[in-house]
Amino acid sequence: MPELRILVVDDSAATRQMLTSAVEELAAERGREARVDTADSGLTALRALPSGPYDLILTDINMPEVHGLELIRFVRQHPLQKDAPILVVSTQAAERDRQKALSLGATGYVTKPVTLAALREALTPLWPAAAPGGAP
Amino acid sequence: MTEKEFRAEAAELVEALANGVSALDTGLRGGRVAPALINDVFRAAHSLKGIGGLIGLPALGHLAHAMEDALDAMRLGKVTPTTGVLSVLDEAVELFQKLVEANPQEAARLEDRVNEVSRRVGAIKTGVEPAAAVVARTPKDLDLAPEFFSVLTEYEEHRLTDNVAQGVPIYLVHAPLALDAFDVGLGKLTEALKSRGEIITTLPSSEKAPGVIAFDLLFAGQVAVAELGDAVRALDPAFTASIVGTRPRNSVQAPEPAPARPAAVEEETLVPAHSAATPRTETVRVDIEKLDRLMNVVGEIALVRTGLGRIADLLRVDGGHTQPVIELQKLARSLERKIDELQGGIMEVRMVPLTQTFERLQRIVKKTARELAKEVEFVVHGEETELDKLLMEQLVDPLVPLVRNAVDHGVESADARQRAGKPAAGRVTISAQPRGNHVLISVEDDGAGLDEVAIRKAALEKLLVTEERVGTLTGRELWNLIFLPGFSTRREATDVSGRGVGMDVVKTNIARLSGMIEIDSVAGRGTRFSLTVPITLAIIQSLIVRVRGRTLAMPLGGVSEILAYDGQLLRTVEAREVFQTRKGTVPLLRLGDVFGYPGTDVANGYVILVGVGLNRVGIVVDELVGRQDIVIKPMGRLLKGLRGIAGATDLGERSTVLVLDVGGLVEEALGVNAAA
Ligand SMILES: Nc1ncnc2c1ncn2[C@@H]1O[C@H](COP(=O)(O)OP(=O)(O)O)[C@@H](O)[C@H]1O
Ligand SMILES: [Mg+2]
Repeated sequence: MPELRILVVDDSAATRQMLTSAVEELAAERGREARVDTADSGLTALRALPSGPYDLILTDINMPEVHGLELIRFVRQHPLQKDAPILVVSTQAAERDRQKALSLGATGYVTKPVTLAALREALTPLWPAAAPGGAP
Repeated sequence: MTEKEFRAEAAELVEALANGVSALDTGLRGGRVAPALINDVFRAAHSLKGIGGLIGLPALGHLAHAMEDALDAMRLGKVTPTTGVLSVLDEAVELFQKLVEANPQEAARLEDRVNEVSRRVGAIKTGVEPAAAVVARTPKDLDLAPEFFSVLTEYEEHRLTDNVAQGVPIYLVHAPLALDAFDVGLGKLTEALKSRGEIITTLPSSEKAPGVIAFDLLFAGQVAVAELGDAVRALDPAFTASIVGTRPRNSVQAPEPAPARPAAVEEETLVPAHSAATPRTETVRVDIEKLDRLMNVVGEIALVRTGLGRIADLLRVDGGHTQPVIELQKLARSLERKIDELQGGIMEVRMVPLTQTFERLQRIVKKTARELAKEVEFVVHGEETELDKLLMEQLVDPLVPLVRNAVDHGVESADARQRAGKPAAGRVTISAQPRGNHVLISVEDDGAGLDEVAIRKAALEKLLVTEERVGTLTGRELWNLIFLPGFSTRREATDVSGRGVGMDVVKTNIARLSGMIEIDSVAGRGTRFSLTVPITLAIIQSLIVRVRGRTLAMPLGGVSEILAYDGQLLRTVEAREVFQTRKGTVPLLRLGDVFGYPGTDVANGYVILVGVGLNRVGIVVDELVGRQDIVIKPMGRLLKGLRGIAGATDLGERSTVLVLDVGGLVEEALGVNAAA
């Protein structure tokens, strides 16, 4: 089975690290290998995108320069990426931003601090337990 | 990442948080807290929150969460930072510093304290009711594509609203870049924009062309569209900047609420039928060059008016009081009043307060103080004083060296200050005061004063004066040496000083603005530089005089008094002519001699007193022709660099006359002429 390609975008190294281990674990639960790329800002993410397509993008909202909302909009415009599920991982403080993220096309929203359980729950609809479509 | 690395990151974040809070404090005391700063602190708190749980310190995460909420409320303008708020944040910072170093037992002991401080930090966001923001203009008025609003975060929306409400122009900067190397281009653009204002958002979008990514930056800044356009094009010819205009409003909206009237009457009688469809905008932005052109035209009309007046006067002398002549004189007078009004109106449009300039100087003082490890307090007075926008831009250059020197040469080291019984922190004060058509700006420090011994020594070494002359130089004459190009009392050049270009720049720039500069210094107490500059460059009131058959214009700005020349009041002191006035004697300057006009001055001429305080000089002229508003024209190649001449002006009747540089002349009379 092909590995899952995942992009984690957050300006905190600790959060990136944590999210990476979490998605690796969740992929393993489904018997899948995960290959995770990380980006420390929205800008870095823009550069990573052409090496996709990604099966999942996790992004923070509050980042300097290009922030999460802008990244979501960009991904949705991107010919290669426009169907990638995007999970926003950010604070609850910004209720309005969350609304916007969803209306811009984010697939889901997880509130920080993140737990493995919350991530699993959010990913369930995105990653059917059965072999993903197209697999032999 | 190991737990140790997480801890290291946490410690870094705590440090960033501490610096941020202290910067907020400085900002608050300086009267302005930069929104970007609050956002930085917010972000640090936000990241810290995420880490707390990862390093087995839930208490830290807990406190960071409260802090994040408080700062979020602040950055969204829901809570105003006050000293009270900041002292709570300070407490939290202190606690963070303890927490990141704590082992689990120590952390457990701190728990009560964490809870208590978290509660107080948490209260910040609820403690203050949202400032009843009555926003006159909103971003919704901006003619922006809806997609922009859909991606702005709440914070960005708030920043946009804030800028719009303050009347800051909003620009859209478009930057297409190569996908594989956009960092550099975008970095440069970001830097260039940040130095001119605030970037509200950076929106990437895929371009039609492959391999290209475009960024649309929403930018708020007090710059002219032409200037911004040039600045971004200089980085990359493909970059563009356009102003975001306001959408016409569809309803009648008077800027101020109309006084209450019975509604029925108002509807029927006061609202014209078509008005509902008439768009109304309340402001227009005008390129300053257009105003310049208008101002020049007005200046030319003023010349025509002067000509009319003169003809009326001549007719009156020739033909007596005929009705048409009297009528003509009346019309000329009322034309003059209207021209004055027109000039006043245009001038007003060009005026901007000194606030931004002073803020810039404040940053320079801070930076210089940091570089030199000195503690310096910056005090500002009169920043609301208004000046012509164009002049304001040219005023920054000469003010920068003054404040840098105040910190570097003026303010002593903390040790030296303490020994001298002064407070450890030095103080640099900049103040502005309107004086009619002029503004008085002073830069003052409470430092050591000008070092006369060092100045004498440096002047001798650089052969600026002769050995015998140096002993006779007193106070002001000696001080004026620091204006000479290359003059410095520093032995070695540092980043801040030692090249002796600072004061030279100050002087030439001020002279160019037809301004004057004066030094006051008291050893051990400090130095003050006082600048007098006209509030506008466009039109200068001047006195038209004649000297040995030539006509000259003298800007009235520097003129304090006009006296009749009287040979009886003339003395010669140390081979210099001085003239007795009620307020003591002043050195005399004969323009004919300065410019080498043949002939002698008439015996019944005038002495025009110029300059202020001890810097007064009497300028001898033969004849006073009259007052006139003039527009100074740049000088041709021939006249450039002629001492004592500021430019030329057209007096009508195709006669061009020279305009005197009063400041330069005063110096000529009082200063030291580099005698080697
Ligand atoms: N505020 C001040 N207090 C004391 N001395 C000053 C002050 N400003 C200028 N000076 C003197 O004027 C000299 C010339 O200044 P400047 O032209 O800026 O050259 P530089 O700073 O390179 O020495 C300085 O070397 C110093 O002796
Ligand atoms: Mg200097």
